[in-house]
Amino acid sequence: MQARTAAKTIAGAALGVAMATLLAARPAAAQDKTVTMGAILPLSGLFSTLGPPERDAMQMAVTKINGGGGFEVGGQKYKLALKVLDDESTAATVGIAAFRQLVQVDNVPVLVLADNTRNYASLLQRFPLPLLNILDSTYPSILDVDKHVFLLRSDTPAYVPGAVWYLANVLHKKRIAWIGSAADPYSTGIETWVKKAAAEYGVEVVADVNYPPGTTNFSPFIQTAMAAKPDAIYLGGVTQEVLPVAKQLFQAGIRDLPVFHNSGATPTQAKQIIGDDLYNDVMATNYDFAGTLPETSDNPATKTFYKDFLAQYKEYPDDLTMWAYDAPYVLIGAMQKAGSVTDREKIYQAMLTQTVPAETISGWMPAEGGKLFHGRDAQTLSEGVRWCTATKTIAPAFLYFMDGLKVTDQKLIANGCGG
Amino acid sequence: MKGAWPYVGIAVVTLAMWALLVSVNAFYAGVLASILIWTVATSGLNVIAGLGGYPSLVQGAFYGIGAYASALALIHGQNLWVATLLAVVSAGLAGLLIGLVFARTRGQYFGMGTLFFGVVVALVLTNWTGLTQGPLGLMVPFGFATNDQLDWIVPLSAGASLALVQALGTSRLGLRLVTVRADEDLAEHIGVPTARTKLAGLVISAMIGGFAGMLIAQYNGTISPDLFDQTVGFVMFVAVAVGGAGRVLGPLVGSAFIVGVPDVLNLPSGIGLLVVGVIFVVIVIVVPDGLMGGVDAIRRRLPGFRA
Amino acid sequence: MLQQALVNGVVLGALFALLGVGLTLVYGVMEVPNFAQAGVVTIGAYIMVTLHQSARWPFYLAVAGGVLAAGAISVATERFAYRYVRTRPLAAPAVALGLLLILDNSALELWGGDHVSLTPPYGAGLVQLGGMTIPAVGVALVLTAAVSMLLLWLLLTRTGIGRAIRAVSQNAEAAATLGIELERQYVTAFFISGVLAGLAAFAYAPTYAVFPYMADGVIFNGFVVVILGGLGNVWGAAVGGILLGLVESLSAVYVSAAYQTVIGFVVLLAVIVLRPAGLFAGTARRVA
Repeated sequence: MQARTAAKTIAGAALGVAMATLLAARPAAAQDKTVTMGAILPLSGLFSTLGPPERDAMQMAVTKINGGGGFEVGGQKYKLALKVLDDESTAATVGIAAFRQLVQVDNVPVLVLADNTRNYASLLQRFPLPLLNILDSTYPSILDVDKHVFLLRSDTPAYVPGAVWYLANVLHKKRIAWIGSAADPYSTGIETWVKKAAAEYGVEVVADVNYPPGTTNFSPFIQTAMAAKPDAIYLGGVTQEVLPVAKQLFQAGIRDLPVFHNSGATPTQAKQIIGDDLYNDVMATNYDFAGTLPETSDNPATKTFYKDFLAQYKEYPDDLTMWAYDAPYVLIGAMQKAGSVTDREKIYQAMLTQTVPAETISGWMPAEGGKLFHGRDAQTLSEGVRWCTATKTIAPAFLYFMDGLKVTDQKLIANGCGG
Repeated sequence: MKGAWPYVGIAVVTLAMWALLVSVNAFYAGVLASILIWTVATSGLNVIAGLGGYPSLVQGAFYGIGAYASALALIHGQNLWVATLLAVVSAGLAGLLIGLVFARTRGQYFGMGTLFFGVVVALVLTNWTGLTQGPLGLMVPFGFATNDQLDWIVPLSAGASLALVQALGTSRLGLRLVTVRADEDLAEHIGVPTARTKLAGLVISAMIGGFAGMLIAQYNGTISPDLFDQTVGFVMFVAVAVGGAGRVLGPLVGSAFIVGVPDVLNLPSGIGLLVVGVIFVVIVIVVPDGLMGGVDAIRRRLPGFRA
Repeated sequence: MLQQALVNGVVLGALFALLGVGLTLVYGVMEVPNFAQAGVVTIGAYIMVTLHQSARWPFYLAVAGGVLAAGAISVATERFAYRYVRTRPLAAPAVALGLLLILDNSALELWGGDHVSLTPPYGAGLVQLGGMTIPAVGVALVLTAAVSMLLLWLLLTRTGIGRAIRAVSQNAEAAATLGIELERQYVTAFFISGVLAGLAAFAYAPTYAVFPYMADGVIFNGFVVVILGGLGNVWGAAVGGILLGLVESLSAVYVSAAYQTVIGFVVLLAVIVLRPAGLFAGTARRVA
């Protein structure tokens, strides 16, 4: 009887092996002459407002590249393919599986990442490859995670101080109440720089409140913040964190203080998250500071991108979409300079010194010698936008560049809504 | 020789799993490794829930405590041996605490009590940001010499956990647990120290769960609270109940089903959980004797458990 | 500050009470910890949003549709799952969690994971009370809970349906011998509990957002309320709800916002531990 049990067990195991082998032995599709660019993006979950536009923008660039005949590396013609996997905003589980798939199975030469870069550090050390990040601007910078990490965007210190400067010198506010998300590193990074900037520009942070993850009722935090009698409110976090707080501020009767954040929330997202009937009133006092928007660019290529993206996806492209659109060109540039589409180390070295690709649209501010990356960080101007109640959309209010805590290249746009 | 057969079976299964792990591509290897690590964790649960018949919904918390304890030890410069020891001991202590609190609680209340305990642990992992970095999770330093070592350590651990439950089942503690499951009042009457038996069962469950936590932290390279929340504790219970068809190999079969099927089919996690929920509810309804009765009925066929 | 915390506590407590009353009613007749009620709240809320925003129904008609649908879904959980475990209380908590997974993730697949909004006509309103400004949506939550509980009390004490449910809750066997149809009482209790879940969705969703896991956190609080108030005791749940709301709100302000939920759970653990033989020991089960 027991021997039979053991025999059954063995037979079962053998069956399992056979099945799994069948599954594993699916022939790899003929992939010659195509380079696959891998990306892990939050297409669902807490950060789902961020991933889909980035995927769409990258796909737009890839389609355009292939439509123009592809690209050439070392005398050989290639097409570019894009493979995007969803991390469901949970890097430690779903994201890690996606990493294994793209890096170990699909052998992508370069991986494009969005958020939670730190979660991949241990695997990145085991399987090194250049990692191009187009979203994660948390502070301290993710560049210290691994030498293979590149940041294809301007990060927190490059835009947060400008928001505080605007608040102090344009709106003449003196007392900021901070309401942030305790466990979101994006929020805590912004908080650090709001405080540094406030000290520099003579503004007081009168309340410093952080709510725990999963909070749905912000009343206690709002009340603590308001007890300090602020004249402006600064909210930390991404769109799905910031907009519910903005809504509850409005519902609690706080309707005349300027509300600052760095969420990149689009009008469509505001309408969906806050609701049809309320969003225009809630957003009326909002200011959002981050990278530049394509619609305010003077560059004809950027203007074309703006129009094409809006026409194709019925969504206003923001700074993130521009950076994402540029990512395929950066990858191709690095592969051409390296003379290889597979050698990750060579491509990494090439990326360190490559110049700004001509086809990019983000308005990159090159480092010495025309190089794209300052170290491993690419930079653009920053921009503050405000809400226009007449058109129920956003309009530029302030263009600037941060040199440490000094605001340079500043340009105020007083009648953004009126124009 | 008769008593050796189940161990031969387990050894063969372990070898087969190892052979499979090193021969498939990295994606399937990842799926298989997850299944095997879950097998360790659910084998632990099999002690208190399978042998003892107590519906513990807190195994995910032990798994998490082990993962975080080992990760924090490595982050603070300890070696993997120390980290593993800490994982097992801290999970065991948590098991002891829950055992002391709930050992005299029965049935549904044990289920609900352990569920709430799992919720509390998940909240602490999420909110004690100074220690755990909150929802962002921890980056886990790699404690092994090479990545390849994991390829044999993971199947070996799974095999060892199965063998351990097999051995426990025939031990005095195992027999006492089975008696408690059959009829706790009667067990007490005939002199089985039921409270102490349940406590021991829970602590062993917790320690094995903690060890599995160390493995997942090493394999993943990163951990975050959602890997260990109350849903995970519940799904582990489901894995034991589903595959568990009461054999020592139950956790392996259950984990393969619960973890492997959604992963191999590449289901989004929402659909995966939907499927898990449906399977579980259907199993409860169609097993005529009921969930616990069904586990019982099949458990009776388990080699070595025939009273 | 204290005044505001107390007001918050009452608003929060009204929600806990509304959920707790439905849970305790079901527990009274069937002894299942119906965690799946959180999924009923979620789906009810999504149906309201869909009827209001996509099908363009008037707001209150959409709410009525959502409330009825919630009642129907709740009955479905009883007909398709709970009734099979009625005699097996050990399996009940796990089945309840299984149903919760099914409902939440169905919502995720049907409507996606993004937050959407349910905005009532008074969504922007403010109420002035004793020098404090209270959001109208909070006041609506308290009123909804109060009116629902009053109606439930009338139903349970003044109607035949209510008397039958109470009889089953007191002693199912005796009720059956007196000719009360048990099956019908189970269905009625689940329907009422589902309707209360729908009302909770209507009152709670406008204060935050509609998303697949919107009620998972509060349902555990609802269960704490049930145990605080005495299982099966509707008035106990109402009072326990307000009490827990106040405790959590005050501890959010004066202890730690991050652990306000943990404090509620500690209360529950204490009750479970101090009643090792089970929570019913020495507690006469009753409804209303």
